[in-house]
Amino acid sequence: MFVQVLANVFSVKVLLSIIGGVAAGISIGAMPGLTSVMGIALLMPLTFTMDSTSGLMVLIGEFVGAIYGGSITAILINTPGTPSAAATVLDGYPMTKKGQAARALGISTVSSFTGGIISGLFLILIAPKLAEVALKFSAPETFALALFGISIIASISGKSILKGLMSGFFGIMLSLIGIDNITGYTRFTFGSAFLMKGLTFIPVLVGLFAMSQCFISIEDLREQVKITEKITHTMPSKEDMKIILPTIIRGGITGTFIGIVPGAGGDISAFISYDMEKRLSKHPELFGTGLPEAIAAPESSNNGTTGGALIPLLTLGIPGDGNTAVMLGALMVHNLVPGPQLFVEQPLVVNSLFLGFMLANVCMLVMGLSCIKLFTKIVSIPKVILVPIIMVMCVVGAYAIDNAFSDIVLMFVFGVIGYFMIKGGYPLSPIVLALILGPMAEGNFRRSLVMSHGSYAIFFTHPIAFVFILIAIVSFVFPIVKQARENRKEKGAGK
Amino acid sequence: MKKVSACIAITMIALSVLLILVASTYPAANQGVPGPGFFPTLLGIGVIALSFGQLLVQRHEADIQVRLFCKENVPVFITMGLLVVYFLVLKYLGFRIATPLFLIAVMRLFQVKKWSVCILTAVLTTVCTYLVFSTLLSVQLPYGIF
Repeated sequence: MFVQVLANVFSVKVLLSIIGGVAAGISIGAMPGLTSVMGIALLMPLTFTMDSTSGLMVLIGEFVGAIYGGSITAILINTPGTPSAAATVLDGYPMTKKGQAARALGISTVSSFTGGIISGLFLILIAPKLAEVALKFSAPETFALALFGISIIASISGKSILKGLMSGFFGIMLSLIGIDNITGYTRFTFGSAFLMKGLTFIPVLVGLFAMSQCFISIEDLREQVKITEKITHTMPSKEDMKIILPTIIRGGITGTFIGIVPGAGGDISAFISYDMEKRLSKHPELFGTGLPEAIAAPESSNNGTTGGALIPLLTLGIPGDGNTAVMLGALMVHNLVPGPQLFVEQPLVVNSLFLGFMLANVCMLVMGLSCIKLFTKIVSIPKVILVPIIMVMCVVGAYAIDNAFSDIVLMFVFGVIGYFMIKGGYPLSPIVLALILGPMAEGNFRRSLVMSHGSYAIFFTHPIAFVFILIAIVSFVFPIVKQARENRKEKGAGK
Repeated sequence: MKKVSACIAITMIALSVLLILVASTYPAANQGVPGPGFFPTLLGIGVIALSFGQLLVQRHEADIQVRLFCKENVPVFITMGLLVVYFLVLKYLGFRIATPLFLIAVMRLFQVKKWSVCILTAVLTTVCTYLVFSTLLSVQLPYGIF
């Protein structure tokens, strides 16, 4: 198996896919306004005709690259390219102001690489074990798991949980369109043959995450990224390496475990690691003035979440955030159903993904240290040119799935819906999460009741299912209580 | 933001009512196993409750100014219109003709003043996209009637 995996990953096609994915990821991540989710949604159509390993490596490369890429503009122009790099701004930009931009970029690159590698090691160690446990799951456990996945919506809802839940319920509503997989009854098709097979997942994703973002970008076309810093030698010095090594190991481990928890992504882990490092530091008062460890902590942590987030995705089929939700769609396009069966049926693909993930991190390190000038040039492409090109990519991407014009229309409709939802403060990630997990929850709920002849006790007599239902209730209620407390505090402070 | 949010909540209520009405026509439960209308009904009730909750909650929230249907948004809506036109003509003119025309139109709308930049970007984007998708990935992009 090991030799097969090596041969599979070290083929020219897969290596080029990794390089292409990482390069695209760094470029997209570095551009403020373009998110890693948008990048994955845009690149996905390019992978349709590729073999599954190559296709998925493009997306994993993009994911790894984009989380790192966000730090480039965070350090150089005080604007994080992605939310994950928001904590990097705190010390990255002050270091640039001291005239040490290259030093900051070097620290960020090495930290991101190490964080990614640590999370990759955890992915390789934990995922197969977790998949073994998950293999024992039947319908009640799978329903409870899907319910747990849906309950995460409360924690990824951002400022308004109510709006997040509405987005999530809207996603489940959309998932109901088409043939009911238990009775074969057609639902909400209104006689349309196009709706019979349900909404095509990819155009919906491209519309929600890429096209809507284009519409938002049009509003501030004149905002242009200008990088004036001269960047020369980016490799961190031995002294810096000594300072940051313990920090990046801590950050990588923290990021991995935060990444495993669905709903908590790179932005949260970066701030947690930054805060942790500040508490551990002998000179916390200097944080915010451009300290090497204060750049290393968030950067190792946010890249640590990448491997962590892949663990529940690959082993349980539960996407924890927008990135992994879109990636789940990509796995399905390649006829790979994420979950424990994937480890039994496609061990070559799974092991190739593990190795490919590590290689993507190596590729990110090499590109980050050697091609930083090129990426700063790409970031400087004016929005007035970039936005129309992305729009064409959205159209072609939606069309490429089935060569169907109806998919272009679907993508556009969801682009417009996404635009208005963003304007109204409704988060989009819950829609995707619910779109995937809704049918999984409904189907397994009814299948469980078929198994028990209509008795709801089945959900309480299966211990794993019962535990997951309890966790789902906690993960649903906890963010609501937390937000209510925060609101009360804010009101109290206001008075 | 309140107005936009309220419009979305009201649309959600209308959608949910439709959902419940349609779901009520579906087969009923069989031997304790819920029918195809069970989940949609449950969901519809949930969305209605959440939407009313949102309408109530936002009355006590401070409003955030959202730019919608104002001068800054005009290019957004014109672009949406141009996209619709692009989809309509794509079938007849084909990808190779409709795409550069669309790109030039959008860039001019975005006030790219130099025609040379518009034309060069449009042609290069079309050629590259066509080569990648059509030649490299074997995706049949629309040929049109020409």
